[in-house]
Amino acid sequence: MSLLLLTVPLLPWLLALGLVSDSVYRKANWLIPCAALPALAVSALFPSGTSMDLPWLLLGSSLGIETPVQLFLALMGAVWLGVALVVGSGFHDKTGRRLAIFYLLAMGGSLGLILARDPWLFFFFASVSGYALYGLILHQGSDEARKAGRRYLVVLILGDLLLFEVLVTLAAEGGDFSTLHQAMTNPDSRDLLVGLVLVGFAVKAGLFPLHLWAPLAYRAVPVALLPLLLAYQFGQGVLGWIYWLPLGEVALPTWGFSMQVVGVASLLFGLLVGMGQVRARSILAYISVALAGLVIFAMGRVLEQPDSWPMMPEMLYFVVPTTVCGMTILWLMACKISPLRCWLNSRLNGWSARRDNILRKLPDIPLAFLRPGIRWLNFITNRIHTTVMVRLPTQRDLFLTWIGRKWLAVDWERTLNSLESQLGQWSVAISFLVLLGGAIAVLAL
Amino acid sequence: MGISTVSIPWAIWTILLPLAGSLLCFLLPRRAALLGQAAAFSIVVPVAGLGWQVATHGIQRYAVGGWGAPLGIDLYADGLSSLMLIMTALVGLGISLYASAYFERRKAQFFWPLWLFLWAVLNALFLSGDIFNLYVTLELLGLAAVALVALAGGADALTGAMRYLLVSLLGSLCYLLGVALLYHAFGTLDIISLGRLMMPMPAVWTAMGLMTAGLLLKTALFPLHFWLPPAHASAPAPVSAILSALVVKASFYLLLRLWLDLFPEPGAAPRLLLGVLGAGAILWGSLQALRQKRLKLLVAYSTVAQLGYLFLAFPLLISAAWNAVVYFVLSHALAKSAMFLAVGNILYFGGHDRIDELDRIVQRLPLTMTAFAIAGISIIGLPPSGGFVAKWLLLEAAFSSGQWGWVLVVISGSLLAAAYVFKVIGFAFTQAKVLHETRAVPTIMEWTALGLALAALALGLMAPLPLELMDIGAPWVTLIGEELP
Amino acid sequence: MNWDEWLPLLIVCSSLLPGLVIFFLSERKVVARTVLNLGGAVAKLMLVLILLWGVLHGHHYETRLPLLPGLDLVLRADALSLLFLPLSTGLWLLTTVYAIGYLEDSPHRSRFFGFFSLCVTATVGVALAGNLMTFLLFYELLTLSTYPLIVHRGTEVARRAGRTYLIYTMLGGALLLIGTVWLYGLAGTLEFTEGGFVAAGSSNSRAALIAIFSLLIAGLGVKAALAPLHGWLPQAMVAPAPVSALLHAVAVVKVGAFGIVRVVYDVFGIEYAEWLGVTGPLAVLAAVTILYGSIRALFQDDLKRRLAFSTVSQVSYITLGVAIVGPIATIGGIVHLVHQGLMKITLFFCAGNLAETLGIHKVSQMNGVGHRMPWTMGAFTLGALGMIGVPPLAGFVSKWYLGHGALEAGQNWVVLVLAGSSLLNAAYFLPILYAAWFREPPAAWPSERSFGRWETAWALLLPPLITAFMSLLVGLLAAAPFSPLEWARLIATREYGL
Repeated sequence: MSLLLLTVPLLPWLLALGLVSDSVYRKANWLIPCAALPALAVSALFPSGTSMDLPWLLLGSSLGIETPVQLFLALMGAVWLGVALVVGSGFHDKTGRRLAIFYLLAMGGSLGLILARDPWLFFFFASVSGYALYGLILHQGSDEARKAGRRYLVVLILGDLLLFEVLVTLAAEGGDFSTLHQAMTNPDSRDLLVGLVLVGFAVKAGLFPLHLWAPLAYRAVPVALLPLLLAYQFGQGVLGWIYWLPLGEVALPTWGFSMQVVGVASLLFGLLVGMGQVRARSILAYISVALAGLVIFAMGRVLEQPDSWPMMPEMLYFVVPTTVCGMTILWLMACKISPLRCWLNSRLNGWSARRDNILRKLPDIPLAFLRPGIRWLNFITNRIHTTVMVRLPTQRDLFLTWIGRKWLAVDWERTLNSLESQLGQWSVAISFLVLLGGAIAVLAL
Repeated sequence: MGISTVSIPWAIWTILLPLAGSLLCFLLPRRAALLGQAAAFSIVVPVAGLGWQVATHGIQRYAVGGWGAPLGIDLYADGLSSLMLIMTALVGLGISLYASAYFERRKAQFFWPLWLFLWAVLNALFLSGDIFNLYVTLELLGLAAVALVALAGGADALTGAMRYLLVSLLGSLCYLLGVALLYHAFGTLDIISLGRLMMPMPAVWTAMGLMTAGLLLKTALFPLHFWLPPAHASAPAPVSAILSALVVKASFYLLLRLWLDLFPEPGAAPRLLLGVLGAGAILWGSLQALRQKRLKLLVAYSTVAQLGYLFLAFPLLISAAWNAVVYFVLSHALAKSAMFLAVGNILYFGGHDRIDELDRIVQRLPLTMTAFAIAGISIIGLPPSGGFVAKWLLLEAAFSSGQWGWVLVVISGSLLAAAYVFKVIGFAFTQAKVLHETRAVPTIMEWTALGLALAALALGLMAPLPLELMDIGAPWVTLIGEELP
Repeated sequence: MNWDEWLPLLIVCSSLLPGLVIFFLSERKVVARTVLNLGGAVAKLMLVLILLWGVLHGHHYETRLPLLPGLDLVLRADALSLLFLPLSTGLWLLTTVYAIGYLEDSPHRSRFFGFFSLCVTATVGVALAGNLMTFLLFYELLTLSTYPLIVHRGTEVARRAGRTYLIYTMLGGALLLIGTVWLYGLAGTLEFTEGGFVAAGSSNSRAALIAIFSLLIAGLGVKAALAPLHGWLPQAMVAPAPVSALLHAVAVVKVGAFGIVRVVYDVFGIEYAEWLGVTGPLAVLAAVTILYGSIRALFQDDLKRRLAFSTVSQVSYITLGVAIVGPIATIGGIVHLVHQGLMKITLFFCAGNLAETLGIHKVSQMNGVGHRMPWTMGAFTLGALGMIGVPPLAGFVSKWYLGHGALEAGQNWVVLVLAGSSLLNAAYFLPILYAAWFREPPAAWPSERSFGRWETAWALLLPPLITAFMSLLVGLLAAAPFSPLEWARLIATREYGL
């Protein structure tokens, strides 16, 4: 029965694979929402503690499910199911197949990672869904989408690299999360690991000041897919923190404190900037940033005082997905029911323009600081580029042609020619002969 | 030295058979090609018999006509000479097959008697045990070779032949002077008796200088190689193959015999001199080859370069180095004859041998080009080929005697050889701007070239066999232990 | 036991003989040629499987033929060769299928497939070589048999590329030869031994051994495309796509890397090499190559050139893994031998498909090509993501072991190199993927050919799909028994005597 755990990621992926074929796509596209059903079934039917070992997978992995996670899985499943239902006929139009495939790939990954019991598997699922989400962000193909996609990709790769470094640093082959937590209690590697995990997932969670991709992405994705971004931020970023950090096992006061500071900053930033936004999507984006701040604040607290952990899981596992769910529902309604949307729009647009103008500049502020730096960076990379890619090869080519010309040059040819014909003259040849005979006789003496 | 008497004097037959063939061809010019081929095939039997005798019973010695050493003609066969005979037989067979299709009847009636005569003289040279007989064979060899070069007709060939004749006579003259000096001093001509009587004295050194210089001229060691490229390039293809593969080897063989069997151990200086000249030959010959625009000249200069390797053994003077040099002789004979025959095919096919107008020869004469490429591999010294084994042994000797310079010379020689061989192969793939009339090449000519090239390749896969054979009674075996410090 | 003595030789001959026969087939005998080609490839695969089965059951396979006095031609099945052998054999089968499809109706196919078979013969010989002499022999044979493939098209560009290739490889071969002879003079043997045969008689002079090591590595580095010696590789791209696939994934480059592995592990022995102090510079060289190759790849518009520079970078992972002294990094390096092969061959197959079907040669022409050829681009995507190191693809596993191994060996800088290379990989591969999947396709492709039902000929489509799937599989099932990773682990265990 535990084999069914595998269906949570596999069913969506297999379906995605199947959709590549035309006939499957035509006949079975109604199945797309159903791909989320195994997750719901697993969370509802399976007893806590069900697990399944997959020693052949990656470095040896296992899937499993426990009480608080069950709820999380159920809610996330619901989000994916809901979005699929809302998109509905959107899977059938011209670019629908692509959309469906990326959607299913992302779904399999992000539902699967909830069940992962070790960092490798988690990382694997997270990457798959992360790259699939890139496809979703780009789906509309507008300039805005491309820009958002680019930035998202940079962030994604950076985050993955950091997490990869964690796995590398772990200096262990295989093992589950406890191995990682063990390593985080070791004072030598602790700070590095915790820092990498924090930053690596902060990128995904859209925590201030690493949130820069989020507003763009929220603006770029199709309306119906917006909840998926939320699900990504919380289902991967935040869940990553929860899984990867040794919450409740060890006290890391410095880290805890800094996290709380960042959390507050993120919260404030998200709220303040969010309020100033005109477009509802952007508001949603900044609210997600604020929420991420809230979560990290809570976790910072746990890291500072490990004994406060026992009451936390419920809070985290419950609050986070409920928020996501709630916002999803809100959003679905907004999508589906146009009066509501009108109302929202009118409310949002009604705010005074003056306040807008002041506040709208806020997100630009960090960028303004960065700008000279970026310019310098540009300058230097350009320099390096011209030197390494243009100047050096040119010089080399010049050198080679010079050599080549020398080789073919008439004087070189003439030297060889004239020497050879000199050797061919009888007087020269005979003197060589005599000299040689004499030399051998004399030298032998 | 275990000299055994075996019932059949194979050695004599190796000389008599080609001589008889030559006479028959001369007397029956209409049947020359057929008779010549029959003779070529029949020579294989005594050569194989002699090889077997030497391999199983050690050194063989025959007194022709029943007279002994000081007066009569002695034939002397050890591992080295029987290996040379085998090499000559192999190459000779290939060339005979090739020539049967190559020459039209008018030329054939001159070619076959001369060629079989040359073959007989070569065999006699490899089997002679006294220095005067060696002189006679050397002189006859030169004359036969000159006549063969002149066979092509035309101004180029005649100029080349004339120059070759003068060189040949000059070289033989030097050699004869040395023989006279030695006879005057010791009163015998037999190599082995002379070797026993030999003592360091000015006459000996003078003789040595004269004989060596003469032989170097005939071996075309740089800087005395001037006559070789025109002669080899202007001759008909089978003749070029004979000259490059066999004739120059004969004078080198003689040199080897003299330095190892006859003369007392000379100091390091003359050996170094020969080595330096060899190195010069390798570099100079390869550079000249690289520069050539005509294929046949390229191959001829490649011979100049390859001959240089043979002299690298002198400064090394370790038995491995001698093995290497003999191996060089074998593999070069096979590879170079294959190469000349392949070039002959190309010339026959397109009527020209300009390298940059080879024009997709790869597709149009695939067998010939394969032969050229395989022979090239052996010339470059890439594995698996005879050239590689030889180069390996030479490098090993250079390393074990700690003489680094020669390693560099050998390697740069290989690289230059690769450059000129692949220059040809590269142009064989591309389309030329100028188109030439072509005529079909007889299949047998393509296959003989390929066969010889494959033999050169096989030499790289069965090295232990010839290496064992050449050590039987070899002069350098006694030298082990006298290696350079 | 006679069988055991001849099996390695049979494996070598199973491609040599069909190859030689193919040379003499006329152009029109397509069926006979195809049967010979595929028959040889399948027979070889079968023989290799028998060999694997036998080794698992404790048989010892060794062919020994005298080559020179004191030096034999040795073909032996040891752990390292059993990693490389199935790879080259399996990929050869696929590449043959691909090449048959690719070269349909093009001239000089007999010549092509003849040399193609010779090329694989040489590769298999290198894999099975039991001493440095045998290795050298097949190494040079490989050089010679690839040259006609590179100049196959017979154009002036091809001739020049061939010349460059030869200049580099001949120089490399010469250095290798010098090193080998010198080593033979010092050590008196050339037999590959686990833990190294030089280490055993370590009374030799250190300077000489360092010089020999440098000579050998420089010689092999030419084929392995180590940084200053890689110049031939991008030029060799004029060859037809199956040849590029073969050059990059199965034969030439791989043989160079395999040779470096052999030299470090079985000639010198890793610990002895470390004592000589040569592994550090080698690691630095590899790291420089990795970054340099990636940076150059970034600026290529020609798809195959971009892939070529990517190879320069990726193959050095193997060298890097070898040069970091430590069992984990060793695993990473050795396993990358297989992984890189699978991924890179996929990419080249796909590039060939694009060129053959749509006439696309440049990255800038690839807009929207994913809509026209979804299967091909799907395989390409898997290969590219694997190169970047996205889990669970093959590249991830190797990168993980390399990074982990470097940290274990206390060489933290390597992790930065890996991270930088991953970033650069992403920077030059992702734009391709983006353009292929998300840009609008142009109104017309440069030169489109129709293949009926499928997006391209099945013989062109099947091989990349299989290799892409395998590159997914070896990453996903890395811990399964008989996976490349497990083999690599076995080899590392033996080398370090754990």
